[in-house]
Amino acid sequence: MNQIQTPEVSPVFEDPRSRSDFRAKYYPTANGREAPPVNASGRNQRVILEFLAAYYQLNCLYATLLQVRKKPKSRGQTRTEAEHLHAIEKVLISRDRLEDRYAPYGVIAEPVIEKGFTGDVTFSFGNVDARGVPRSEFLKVTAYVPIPLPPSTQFPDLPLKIEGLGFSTKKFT
Amino acid sequence: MQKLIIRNLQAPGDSVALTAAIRDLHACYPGRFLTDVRTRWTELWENNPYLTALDKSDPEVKVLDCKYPLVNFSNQRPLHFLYGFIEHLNEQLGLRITPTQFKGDIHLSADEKATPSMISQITGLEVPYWVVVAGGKYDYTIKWWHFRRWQAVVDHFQGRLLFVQLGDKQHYHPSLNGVLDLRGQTTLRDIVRLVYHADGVLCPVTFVMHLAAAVEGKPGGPKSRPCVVVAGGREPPHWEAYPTHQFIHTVGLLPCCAAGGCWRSRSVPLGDGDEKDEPKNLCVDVVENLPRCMELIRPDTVADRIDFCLVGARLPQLTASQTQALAPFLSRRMKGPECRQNRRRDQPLIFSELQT
Repeated sequence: MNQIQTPEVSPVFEDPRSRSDFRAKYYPTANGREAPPVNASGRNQRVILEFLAAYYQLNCLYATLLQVRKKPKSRGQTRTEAEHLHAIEKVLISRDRLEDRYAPYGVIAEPVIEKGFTGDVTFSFGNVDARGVPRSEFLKVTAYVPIPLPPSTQFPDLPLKIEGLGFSTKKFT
Repeated sequence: MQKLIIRNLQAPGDSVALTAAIRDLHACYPGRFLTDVRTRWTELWENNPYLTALDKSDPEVKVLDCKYPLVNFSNQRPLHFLYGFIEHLNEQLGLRITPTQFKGDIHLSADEKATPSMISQITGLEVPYWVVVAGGKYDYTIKWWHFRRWQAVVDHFQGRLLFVQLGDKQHYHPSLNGVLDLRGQTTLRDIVRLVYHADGVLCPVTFVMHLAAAVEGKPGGPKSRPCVVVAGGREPPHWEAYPTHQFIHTVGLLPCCAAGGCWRSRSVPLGDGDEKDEPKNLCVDVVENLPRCMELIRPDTVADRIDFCLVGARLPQLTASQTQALAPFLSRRMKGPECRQNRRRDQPLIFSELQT
């Protein structure tokens, strides 16, 4: 599968599943399926992991917020609640930055939200379609056209660019 | 009469321009030709009075591939896209067709015109609306404006205009907040009908821009449908713009489009194996992930142009009661604290809590 060449994924990204306090129930699925493995190396998979980490963080913070809300109203409770809302907002800003970074590459990550929690994130990518097939494949047509070359001519000598399967620099005689 | 099958397998916007060429062929040479077409977009040819069913196996039928090589001279010759197909037909047939109208030629049946709009059917309300297309295909990503900018424009008209978001699910169309979201839910013919009933269109250089000009206005509306196009510097405006549109471009302003459109393909390489990723096809001046020509176009500028249309053409706007009645039908996305107007995603936990 072709992968996005640039930009680099965030160097500070840390997969929450690597942490000891990871809470699996708050980690969303990707396109309805289990997330890529922690050590996934494909660019699109790394992008998925970055977004899932952001939504996982939001879910965790929201769960904590709900717990805070269950406590009796008090000045301290109000302040704690505001702090949690502020923390959520900071993650949302990070999520926005992710969206901005990948938007020109055609990446869309739409959360599927139920009762405030993101259970799944629907991803689409600019370089591949939903099946993971490079989009340019739709436009490719292959034809076999034998063209005899003059004696002692090599491909690099030709005033045109030839690439693809079957190309060889072997000397034709 | 000479029998012609005109063949073109390009994008739907190209087919809209081809409808003009077929109309003008018959206008300039009445009774000389029987024409049929082969395109990928048959829905654009419904009710077209210039088509006759022809069979390519008929020995009297001549099949012509029709394109617009004129585009290769679009930065030199002061001609519109509508001339493109016409000149190619002229070359192949030895004719002198000239454009007769400054628009494509899309026809709706009387039934289609009389049927209430899809928006009316969905909402049960007769309300004015604008079509918005906030993305495009993956081949020419250089045409994309940032989705937060589209959102800012939509937000500017909150409570005044209903925007109906259209787009193919296979293409790049990020969801917008506060719109009636019909992405992936329309056929090509639905879009024709939606444009017919629309009071205006907001889009980049794309298919609906051509439709906005080609589809007649509904009764009681302005003769020309307003269309605000966020165009940047890719295409020369004399080639792409319709005179009745607000075509926001930067040609002449930047070194990369100083003397015409750059005609490049992508802002950044997508990595899909397409030749449009090659350096020669990439934008040479990307700023904040947008081509500079698109970055220069601010949401305020676009909103001003829409306001310009609303005032100039005396277009209807939503009443308070209509706005209220439409609310359940609009895409609901989150707004964060500090009322960040460009917030796009749905996150009810914030939406409900930080509004208070």
